[in-house]
Formats: sequence, structure tokens, C-alpha cells
Amino acid sequence: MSLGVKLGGLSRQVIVLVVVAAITLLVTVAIFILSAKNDQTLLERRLVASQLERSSQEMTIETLRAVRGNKASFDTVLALRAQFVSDLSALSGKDPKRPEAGVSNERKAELAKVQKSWDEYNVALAKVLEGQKAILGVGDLASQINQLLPDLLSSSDEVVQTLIAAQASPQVVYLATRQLMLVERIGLTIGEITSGGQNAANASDRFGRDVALFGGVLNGFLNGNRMAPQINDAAARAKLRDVAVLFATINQGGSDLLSEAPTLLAANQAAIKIDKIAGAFTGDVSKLSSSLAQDQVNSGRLAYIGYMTGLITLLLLAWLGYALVRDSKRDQKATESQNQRNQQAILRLLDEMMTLADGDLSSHTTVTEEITGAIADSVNYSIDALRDLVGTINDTSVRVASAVQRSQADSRALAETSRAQAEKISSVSDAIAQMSDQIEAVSFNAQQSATIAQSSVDVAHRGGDAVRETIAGMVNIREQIQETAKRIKRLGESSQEIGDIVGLITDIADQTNILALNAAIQAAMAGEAGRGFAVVADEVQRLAERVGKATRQIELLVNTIQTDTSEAMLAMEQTTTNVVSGATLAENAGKALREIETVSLNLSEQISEIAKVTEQEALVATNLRETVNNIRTETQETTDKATRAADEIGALGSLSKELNNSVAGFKMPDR
Amino acid sequence: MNLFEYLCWVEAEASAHAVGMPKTDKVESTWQAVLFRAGGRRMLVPLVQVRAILPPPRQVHIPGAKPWVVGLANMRGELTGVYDLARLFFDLPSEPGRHSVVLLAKTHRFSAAFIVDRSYGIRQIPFSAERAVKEPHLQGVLREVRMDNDWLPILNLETLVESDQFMNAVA
Repeated sequence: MSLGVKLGGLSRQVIVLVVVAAITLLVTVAIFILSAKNDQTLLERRLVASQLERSSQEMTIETLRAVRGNKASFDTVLALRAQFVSDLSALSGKDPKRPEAGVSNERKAELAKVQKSWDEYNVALAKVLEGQKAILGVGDLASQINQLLPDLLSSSDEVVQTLIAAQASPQVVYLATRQLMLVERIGLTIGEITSGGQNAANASDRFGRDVALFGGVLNGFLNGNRMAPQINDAAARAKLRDVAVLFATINQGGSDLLSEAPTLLAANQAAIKIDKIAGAFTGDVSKLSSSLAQDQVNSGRLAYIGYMTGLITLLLLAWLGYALVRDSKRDQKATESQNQRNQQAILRLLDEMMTLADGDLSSHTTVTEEITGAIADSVNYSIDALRDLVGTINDTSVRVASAVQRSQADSRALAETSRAQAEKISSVSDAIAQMSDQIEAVSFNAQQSATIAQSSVDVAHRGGDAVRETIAGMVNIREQIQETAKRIKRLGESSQEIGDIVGLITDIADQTNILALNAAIQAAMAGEAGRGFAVVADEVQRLAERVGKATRQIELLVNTIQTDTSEAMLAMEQTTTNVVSGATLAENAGKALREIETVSLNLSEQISEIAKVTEQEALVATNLRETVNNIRTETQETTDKATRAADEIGALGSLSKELNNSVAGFKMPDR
Repeated sequence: MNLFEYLCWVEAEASAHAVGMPKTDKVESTWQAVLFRAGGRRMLVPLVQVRAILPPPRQVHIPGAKPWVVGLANMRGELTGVYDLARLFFDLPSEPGRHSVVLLAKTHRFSAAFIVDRSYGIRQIPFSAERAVKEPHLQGVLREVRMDNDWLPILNLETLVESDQFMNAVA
């Protein structure tokens, strides 16, 4: 009991310490995870903001370069603008790909300021980008014109020299010299226009006027007008034509350049505005960037709290270790003194139990407060139980001996009875086996009868089919005879017609014969001249006679045919009558066969039923025989078991004697 | 052997080898007759005495004449007396059948036609096959001829027509 109290006290303190240390450890881990996550978010915002700052600065520089005609800068500006817009939307928390980049609520005001500056900046930037085509086009045109201007200048100079050499009038020389001045001024003006400075508007105006003046004077030199007189010197005119060719190209370029001038001007003004507002815009962006950088630096403070909770956890773990060591030392001392006391008590108890080991059940062991007290108490209880057990064994063995003698006599009587019963059952089993064999024979005969009856049904059925086929055949025969009779009748009619035709032929033959006779007579009257004709007539007459003979034979044949036909008709009518009566007889036979079939079928079914029933009876008889055999076997076993039981009961009597002897060694207290 | 003898020898050889050549035997000379039947007996009449053989014509009965006088008829535009030969010879009435014909005799004085049962046609009669009737009992029948194992009488129409019995036609 004292050990349990100690253990409980120690556990409670240790458990409290373990729980507190675990909580502080979990808090430390959570703080570090939170800090790391927060730090990552702030770092991402800081990176986005610094990229935003860099984009804003580069965008201003590239815009100013673009407005001076740098083509690559336009593409860079477009890319930077897209990057800037993407980063800005990410900081506003509107970019679904970077949802953590959205700034905290404290920084919304600064972001709004950047957004406002950007809106203004973006308007100007859009105008510059709109002027891309004009800026690039003007740059190309200006470089083309600048390439041509030296040639124009030298050609014009040659014109002046030629005029002076030709002693032209001072007025003309002045005008030609002024042309030189105009060329130089056009070159300067183009430079101003392309630079896009404040004076670009004035420059383009002046460019237009200078070009017009140069063109007018050149035209006057060539064709004569109010601005200049016509020059007739051939050499000068040739030079003037060169000048005119060069000027035509420059003039075209100049007019294109002037048409682009307004767009260019607007783009330049937008660039100037960008240059002006770029400082404030970049400043706002830089301010936002530095604020976000400061946020990231400040987020490190959360980590310090984590370090503190970690330290607390370590201190708690050290305390826990100290408490565990102290408790274990205290437990060890208490256990040693307790063990010594227990050993002495056990030795005392063993001394008292030696008498019990010698079979003396008359005395008890001493019960004390020591650890062995409970054991001594239990030993005393066991001694009491042993006393009761030995007494009971003595009484029981005496009763068992008398009961065994009675049981042995009963078992022997039972064995005898069982043997007699087994013999009777054997005779019954033989009788049942004989009966079963007879029933099986009856069943076999019934099955054979059923098969024969079934075959008689089949035979009757086949007979019925044969009769039906016979009737059908007779009907066919009757129909065929009727058909044949019709045909023979038609044959008789045809032979009648043949007779008529033969009569006609006979008439014709007779007449031919007479004609031939007359012809022969006429030929004979003609004498020698008619001899040839007489031969022909003779032949005709012979032919007619042959025809007559043939027709007579035909008449005979036709008569014979008609007689035969009539006889055939009569014979067929007789046959038809016979066939009809035969069919009636066959139908009667069919009816009789059908009745036989029905009766045979009933007979077959009944015999099958008998076969089925006898088969079931044979099965039952077989089962009965098996059952009786089983009973006989079991009775035999019962006889054997009864005999064995009588023997074993005898052994039980000797065992009870042995039991009584085995407990005789115990010393019992006096009653 | 001179040329004539040689030619005779050639002819003899040719005649000896002439197998299958037309026969050079003499044909027996015949005369033509018309075979007919009257009163159930077959008879012959020379072809030269018959002018024509015709179907029985429509005739007019002559009252008061002998029974064998059938009547008068128009035969080829001539008024011709029609006689029943069977009744004349055998006193048997002729049976008018579909084979019945009349023999129109070729006579000088008047035309006469004889009804017979039927005419069988022209037959070639060899002269050797005929003989004289031993006991003549029919007018105009003086000879008979052997034909089909039977002796058939030969009727001489001219003799018959000229005979007294025929001339005495009125009863």
C-alpha cells in the first residue's frame, strides 16, 4: 500500500511536468511554422514591390529613349508595362496565380497612391505608344533627307559658281546664294523636329516655308516666275536640273514628314509629361517597396517569441529529469528494509509447516501481522479442508464397494439379454433381405412391362401414321385418275376430230383420183403427144390411191382409239369407286388404330406408375434392411459393452480399496 | 482379125461387163383400163372408151323407162342419159355412196353415163393376161383378165351401147 502511494505521488508531478513541456514544445513549433510562412509571404511581396520599382524606373528611361526613335525601346516599354500591370494587380490581391502577394490593410493607402500615380503615368505612356509609327517614320525620313542634303548643297554651290563664272546679274547670284542658306537651314530644322524639343512645332512650320521657298526659286530659275527670272546659261541649267532631281526627293520626304508632325508633337509632349511626373511616380513606388521591405524585417520579432518558448521547454525538461532521479533513490531505500522483514517471517512459517508435511493434520500454523500472515491463514484453511476430504474418502470408499458389487451383477444380466436380442434381430434381418429382393424383382418386371407398353404405343402410332399416309395416297390416286380420265376424254374428242379430218382427206383423195383418171383419159385421147402427161396423171392417181389406203387405216385406228378410250373411261370410273371405298376402309382402320393407341397409352402410363411405386417400395425395403443391420450391429456392441462394463466395475471395487488404503496414513485429530 | 471383127469383139466384151446398166429386155406390151366396182363386183373398162369419170350429176327422172335408166343429166353441156350398171347387169339397185361416180362413155351416136359404186383407177393390163369369156352372160363382156388371183370381166362400152338390150330402154 505504501509503495502504491509513493508511485502515485511521483507520477502526478512527472505527468504535470510532461504535459506542460509538451504544450510549450507544440507552441514553439507552431510559432516557428507561422513565422516561416509569414516571412515567405512578406518576402514575396517585397520581391514583387522591388520588381515594380525597377519596372517603373526602366519604363521611364526606355520611354524617353523610344521617343527619340529607338525602335527596340518600344517593345521593351510594352513588356515592362505588362509586367508592371501584372505586379500591381498581384499586390492588390487580384492575381489568382499569386494570391499571397496582396498587401496588408495598413499598406492599402500607399498602394492606392501608387495606383493613382500609375493611372496618370499610363495615360501619357499610351500617347507615346500611339505615336510609335510617327516617331519611327519621321526618324527614317529625316535620315533619308539628311543623306541627300550634302549632295543638294554641293549641287547648289556648283550652280552659284557657274552663275558667277557666267557673269550673271547680282540679283540672280543673290537668289542662288540664298538657296545655299535655305538648304543648310532645312537640315537644322529637320534636326529640331526629330529631337522633339519645345520648338518642334515652330521648326516644322519653318521647315514647310523653307522648302516652299527653295522650290519656288528653283522653279523660277528653270522656267521663270515672279520669284526668280529664268536662267538661260546652258551649264547653269544643267546643274539646276541636277538640283531639281535631288529636291524632288527631299520635297516628297518633307511633305510626308510634315503630315506626321502633329502625332509626333503629341507623343513628344506626352514624353515631356512623363519625364516631369516620373519622379513622383517612381517615388511612390519606391516608398511602397521600402514599406514592404520594412514589414519583412519587422516580421522577425515573432521568431523571438518562439525562441523564448523553446527555452522554457528545455528548463521544464531539466526539472523533470531531476524529479525522476530523486524519486527513484527514495524508493530504493524503503524497499531494502521491507525485504529484510519479509525474509524473517517466511522462515518462521516454514518451520511450522514441516509438521504438516509429515501427514499430521491435528495442529494449525500461527497467524501474525507480517507478510506471511495471510499465507498462514490460507494454510490453516487448507488443513481444515484436508481433514474433511480424508474423512469423506473413507466413507465414500465403503459405499462404493457395496455399489460396485450390485452394478457388476446388473451388467452381466444386461449382457446376456442383449445377446439374445441380437440373435432375434439377425433372423428378422434375413427375412427383410428376402422380401427386398422379391420387391426388386417385381419392380424390374414392371419396368420391362412399361417399356413394352410404350413400344406398343409407338407401334400403334406408326400404324396410324401409315394409315393416314395410305388415305392421302388414295386421295392422290383418285385425283390423278380423275385427271387422267379428263385427258383420255379429251383424247377421244381429239380422235373424233382426227376422224373428221381423215374423212375430208379421203374426199380430197377420191376427187384427186377422179381428176387423175380424167387427166389420164385426156392424155390418152391426145395420143403420142399426151404420153408424158399420161405418166404424170398415172402417178397422181397412184398417190391418190395411196392416200385413200392410208386414210382408211387411219379411220380404223381412230375407231380403235375411241373404243379403247370409252373402255378406259369405264375402267377408271370403276377404279375411282374402288379407291373411294378403299379410303373409307383405311379411315376405319385409322380410327381403330387411334383407339388402340389411346388404350395402349393409358396402359403404359398405369404400368409406369406401378413400376415407379414398386421401385420406391424396393428402395424402402433396402433402407429397412440397412436399418435392421445397423440395429443388429449396435445390439452386438451393447452386449460387448455390457460385458466390458461388468469387468470394469470389478476393477472399480479394487480401486476403491486402494483409495481407502491411500488415506490411512493421515493422522486425524481425536473426535 | 480385121477391123469389123475387132469391133464385134469390143461389143461382146462391153456387153459382158455392162453390170447395172439399163435392162435391154423387152417390156411386155400392155394396154390401159379403168378398174371399177359395180353391184359388188370389180370390172374393167378400156381407157380409150371412157371420155371422163365424174361425180354423179343432178339428173331428171324419165317416166316410163326401164329401172336401170336413172334419168337425163347435163354433162359437159350435152344431154346425157344416165344408167345404173349394177341394176342393168345384176338387177341390184346401186347404193349411192360418197364414192359413187359416173363413167362417161366415148360413143359415136349418143352420150351415155354409167353410175358405178366406185372407181379404183387406171391399171396396166398385159395382153398375155387376158382371155375370152367362155360363157358370156353379160352384154358387152366378151373377155376377162387375170388380176389378184381373180378373173375380172372386161366391159366393152361400145358393144354394150350398140346392144339390143340397151337400145330397148323403154319399159
